[in-house]
Amino acid sequence: MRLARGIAARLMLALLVMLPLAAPAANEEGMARILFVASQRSASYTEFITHVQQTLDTGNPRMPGNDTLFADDLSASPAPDPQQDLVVAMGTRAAQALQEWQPRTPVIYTLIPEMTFEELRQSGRLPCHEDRCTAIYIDQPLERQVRILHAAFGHRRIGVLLGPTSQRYRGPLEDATRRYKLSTATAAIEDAEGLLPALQNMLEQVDVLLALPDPLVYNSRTAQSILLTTYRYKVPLVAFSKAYTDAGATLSVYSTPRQMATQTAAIIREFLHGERKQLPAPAYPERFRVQINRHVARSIGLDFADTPEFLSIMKESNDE
Amino acid sequence: MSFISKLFSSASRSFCAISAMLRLSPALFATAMPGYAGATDAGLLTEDAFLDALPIVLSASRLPQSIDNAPIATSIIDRNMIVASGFTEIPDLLRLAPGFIVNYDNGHTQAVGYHMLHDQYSRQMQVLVDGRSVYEPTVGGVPWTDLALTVDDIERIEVIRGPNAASYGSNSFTAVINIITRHPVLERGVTLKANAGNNGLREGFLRYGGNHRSFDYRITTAWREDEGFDDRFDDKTVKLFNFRGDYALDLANTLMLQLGHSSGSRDADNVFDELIPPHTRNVYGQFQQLKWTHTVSADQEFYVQLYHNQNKDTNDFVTTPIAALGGAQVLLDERRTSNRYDVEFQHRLRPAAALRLVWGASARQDEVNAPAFFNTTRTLDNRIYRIFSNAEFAVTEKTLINAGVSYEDNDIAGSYTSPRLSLNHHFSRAHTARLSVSRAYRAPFLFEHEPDYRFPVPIPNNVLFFDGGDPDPEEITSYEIGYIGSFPRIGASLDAKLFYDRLEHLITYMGVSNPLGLDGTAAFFDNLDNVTIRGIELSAQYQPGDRDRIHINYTHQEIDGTDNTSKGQYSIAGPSDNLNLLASHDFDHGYNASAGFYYLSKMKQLATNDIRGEQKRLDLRFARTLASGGNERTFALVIQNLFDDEQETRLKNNIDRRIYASFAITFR
Repeated sequence: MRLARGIAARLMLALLVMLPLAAPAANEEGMARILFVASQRSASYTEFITHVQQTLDTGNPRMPGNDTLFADDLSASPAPDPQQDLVVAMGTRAAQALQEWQPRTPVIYTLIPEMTFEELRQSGRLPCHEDRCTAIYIDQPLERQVRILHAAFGHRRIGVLLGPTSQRYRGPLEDATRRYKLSTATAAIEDAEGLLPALQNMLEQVDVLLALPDPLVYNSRTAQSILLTTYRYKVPLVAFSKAYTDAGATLSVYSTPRQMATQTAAIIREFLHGERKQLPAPAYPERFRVQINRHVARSIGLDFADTPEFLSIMKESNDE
Repeated sequence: MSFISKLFSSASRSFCAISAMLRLSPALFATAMPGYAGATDAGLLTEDAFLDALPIVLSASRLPQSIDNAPIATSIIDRNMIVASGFTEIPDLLRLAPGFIVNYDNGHTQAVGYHMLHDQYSRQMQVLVDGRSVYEPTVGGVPWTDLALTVDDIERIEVIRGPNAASYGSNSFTAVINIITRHPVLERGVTLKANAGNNGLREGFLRYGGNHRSFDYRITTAWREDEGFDDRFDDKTVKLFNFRGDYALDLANTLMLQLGHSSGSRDADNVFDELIPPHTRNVYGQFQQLKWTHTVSADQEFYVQLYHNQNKDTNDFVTTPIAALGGAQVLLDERRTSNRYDVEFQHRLRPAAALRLVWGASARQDEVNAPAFFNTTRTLDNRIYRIFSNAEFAVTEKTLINAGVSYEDNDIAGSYTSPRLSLNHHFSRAHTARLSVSRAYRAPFLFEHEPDYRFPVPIPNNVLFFDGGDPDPEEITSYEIGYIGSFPRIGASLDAKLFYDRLEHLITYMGVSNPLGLDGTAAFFDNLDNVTIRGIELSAQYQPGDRDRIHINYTHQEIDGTDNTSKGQYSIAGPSDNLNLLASHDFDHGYNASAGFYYLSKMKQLATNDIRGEQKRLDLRFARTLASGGNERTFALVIQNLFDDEQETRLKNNIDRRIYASFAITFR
């Protein structure tokens, strides 16, 4: 089974990377090709690719034909250098697969957390050469989160649980909260057992809990306890994904794959048809959504009616 | 209304079945999406942390993305809809689901049917409250008024519109109703509510919600009285108490304890038989439920659940003088007590990325003591053992197969296997098609199985009901082609299905000549009728902004029935058209207005084969909510049946126009 899959992947890979060779005429006419590398076969990645494609096609019937590979296929077999003009790597596993592959093509890394991208880049093995590489992170800049939190809740005391991964946010977090003159309490979580006591202790002291992604602290196993506990203390939780507000967090700030696809398409266009043909510096997503769980907000006595700045941010962010 | 009175009526009836299991809600099952922990082996944070779904903890949402993965058409009646409807009785809430028919046998006995409402015992649906099956095991039906539950305790109702015995047990015949109560963490402080209206409606409600460390609890006590229908002797009083506590032992373990008690008086008359004088019954109900849940990960969870329900009905009265007995009056004592004990285990897991499984087992004992119905003072019992498994397999990224099967062994009905298979194909994120086929059984109730009802006079030929042999379980085979679409740009969603249901061996009673019968005849239960129902059902929601919500449901159907007994004709037991619409709008300054419109085309009345004409009902609710500090006050005025449609839904039952005012205050 594994062998068969390996052979199939190899064949597909060979076909895909060779394809552009079969159509050199098209290339001469400026029909560039893009290779998408997805971390998994799931809806978020497919939606991303579809939307990039649609955006590129709009008003430009001669935009590129594209190919898609999955991280698994790449790691299953070594591949020749891609013939496409640009690679779009979606997610962490795709970036890791490119580390193995080492293509010389320019790459846009996207749907990847900022700290993960930086870590991979600093390892020196990530194919990312100056202006031939860029990234659109999946996470929000801390400054944006703190600004929204300030607009929604005013001068409140913010609590943040920092796990082994999110420890790195400590400095930037202090900078951002200082700018808005917000006081912050942080607690370091070292293991799963320490999570609930630290959370309860923190909720005694703070008005808002800001969630920063950390696999030890915020995962599908801990979500229920964290949501119930914050709710019990009537402390709003400001989270980083749609799933959290769906599940019961008061507010989330996040960018959808579609929003990131729009931004990616703009970069692709600029790269293929712009004058300078270079990629911009890595950046956070420009567009984002602010989602409230009204049911939860109302239950803890929040209606945001007297926070015009927050309401306008929300309206603006949700008008697509 | 007494049993004997029903007997003398021309109504058709067979009595209800048993059993049921809960399953984890399809919503929850479908929510735990592809799950990595959000980290790679090397400990790097990945995008999964941002993209993966989570188990829904505190949400009144309609759970939109999960419904398109469900194996059977599913509707959610959420808290907003419950409030907007203005309904004060739980079964009325089901008017908000597509294809449902709700009717009242009298002011305190309601009946609910999906596509068909044959008689007052809505015995062909599974009804669960937080996973606890609330069927009455003696004569069947759901004692809606005695559930020890108020409308304000309900968070949402998930309605599975089709047979799903593979997931929910043998009563999951035409539909499954999952009532989910509010998590105590949602309730803090004291809430007081009072309703007063023009049919003698007086309601009081007091709730306290609090917590001690990670133990959240709420206690509700409520009292209700009303005068039922104008032309009936059917006043009721209901006093109830319930408690729910949820204790989080640690990250992985939670305990839920629920307790409830209700009692009250029910005035009873018989508009069909003058032998039964107006009299008053007393009813009691109680339940206890304990559930331990152990969560290993988003993909793996165990629970063990124990519960006990008890229903007691003291119904004794003296008949009017009976000429045939020389003017003598006879004491009829129809007291009955039923107990249900149930234990269930379930394990949900994900053995491979594309496969999710749930399996479990349960054991149940029903005990019934009802001397008048079985001609014995002995307590009868029935044991039911069940194993079940459901699998959800993602064949490709876009195609999902759901397969389920349950095997049930029932003391009185034998053993049977209920399978279900469905295929959901997502053409895109917004458009899904579903093909589904399912078979389910309804086991006979104890009274259907071994009736022995004798008129209490010392003569040999006093039999009214006799045991005419053991009826087989009723059987349904259901086919569905569905479409689920979402149109986020305009804030709309649509669920449409074509359905074909074949119901076989339906249990009805029939009178036959019998030398022991009171008048030379007596009745017995048997599998006398077959029915097919085919039709189309549409359910649309439109939410153009945060302030407006519109729900529209429409069903068109054709029913063919064999109608082998004159006691109840199935072919006229459902309307050809069923429409309901609920709209609500939030104005500034806490004002809210909502309207509900409910239409049924003609069908037979509840207790007889008489046809009633089409029925239209318009309900309006106006409310204002003021919040200050942690406190909240809500004033509401509700008008039911605004146009005063005079159509009787059963002999002498017409709700007229009713108006009530409501005031609620919460101190946090």
